[in-house]
Amino acid sequence: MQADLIIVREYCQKSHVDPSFIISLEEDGLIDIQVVDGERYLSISQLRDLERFVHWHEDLSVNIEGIGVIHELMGRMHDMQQELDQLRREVRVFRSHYLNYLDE
Amino acid sequence: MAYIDYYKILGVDKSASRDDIKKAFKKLARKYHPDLNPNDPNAKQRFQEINEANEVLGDPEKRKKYDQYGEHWKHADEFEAQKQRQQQGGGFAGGGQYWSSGGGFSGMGDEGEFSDFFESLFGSRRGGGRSAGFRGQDYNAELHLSFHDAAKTHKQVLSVNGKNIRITVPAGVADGQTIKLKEQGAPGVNGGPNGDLYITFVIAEDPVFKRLGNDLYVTAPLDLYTAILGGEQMVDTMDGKVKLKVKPGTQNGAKVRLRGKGFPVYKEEGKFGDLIVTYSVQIPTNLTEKQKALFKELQSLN
Repeated sequence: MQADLIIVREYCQKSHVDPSFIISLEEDGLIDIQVVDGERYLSISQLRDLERFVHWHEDLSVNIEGIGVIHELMGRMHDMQQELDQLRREVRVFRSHYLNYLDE
Repeated sequence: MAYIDYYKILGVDKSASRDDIKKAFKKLARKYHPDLNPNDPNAKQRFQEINEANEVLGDPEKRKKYDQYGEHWKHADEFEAQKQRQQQGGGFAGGGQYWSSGGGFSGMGDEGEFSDFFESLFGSRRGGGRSAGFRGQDYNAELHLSFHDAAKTHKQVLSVNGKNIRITVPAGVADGQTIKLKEQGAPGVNGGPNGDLYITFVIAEDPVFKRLGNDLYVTAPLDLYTAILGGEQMVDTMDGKVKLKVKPGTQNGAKVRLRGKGFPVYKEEGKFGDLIVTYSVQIPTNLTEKQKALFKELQSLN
């Protein structure tokens, strides 16, 4: 098996995460699971998201549907933040480039 | 070590019911959860404070002890010893014997360390109902670069959590851009992979050039006579001054695009944006009598 895959069963044992939680996340399309010879695998690149989902679930008692909504909104917030940062930079350029005449 | 007012942290008064405390805790936990506040470096600490406050006020026994000693907590052990002597071992013993952290918060990467104040009063915090963690914590770092440093590929040594990391900063990085260094974060737990290191570049503004993407903007003053009659003008670029030909009748605010004189394009070696020069025509002031007379003559010709 590839090095960037981990066995879901082992992950759940080591992290004390309920396997049914992972299955529910997969069923709702929040993570991807690969099944090879009856064994479920998870790619390491998904661990960051998965552990955030676990935190939301355990810390804030958010259910799977709620996790899906938060994940979606966080993604939108991230994109909006990027756009806002870009617009701020543009405004700064235009302010200094065009409005400096007013100050002189 | 200072006294911590857990009531104040949760924003409830001392007579608050268990439900009030639970409600206040849940509200603040949602607000300050670090995963929901990725851009707020204080959220994690605030969240841990809230968590600790809930650990104490949400547990009737701990709350009782906390209320009993209040600001005199430093003498808690003496009081306890005295009480035990008086009651011949009855009553409750101090210091970390009744642990039932159940569904409370624990680790936030460094696994939810509680304050020294908490540990003095209740003993070391162990256990907890949360998952043990697997992948190491991600680290976030900011790298401040000067405008000119961001324009050239160069090496930098970053010190992150006591570890020196050498990175090559490619020319053309943008202000606010984040790069990920895989598995350079905190070590994993139970054989899990390391976390990642995220480096966000903060690029200082330049007094001369303004950058938008790969293009640079510069304002060049132009004297009135050159603007009217045409001529030549020296203009700043990233690699020194260049001489530009000015067309007769150049207006104030007119722009000239110098292709390839802008900022390097990120990870596209040899490629550059453009430099946009905006002329700012300077109107002469403090005219001599002769100059005034000549301008008036010009005026009368129109």
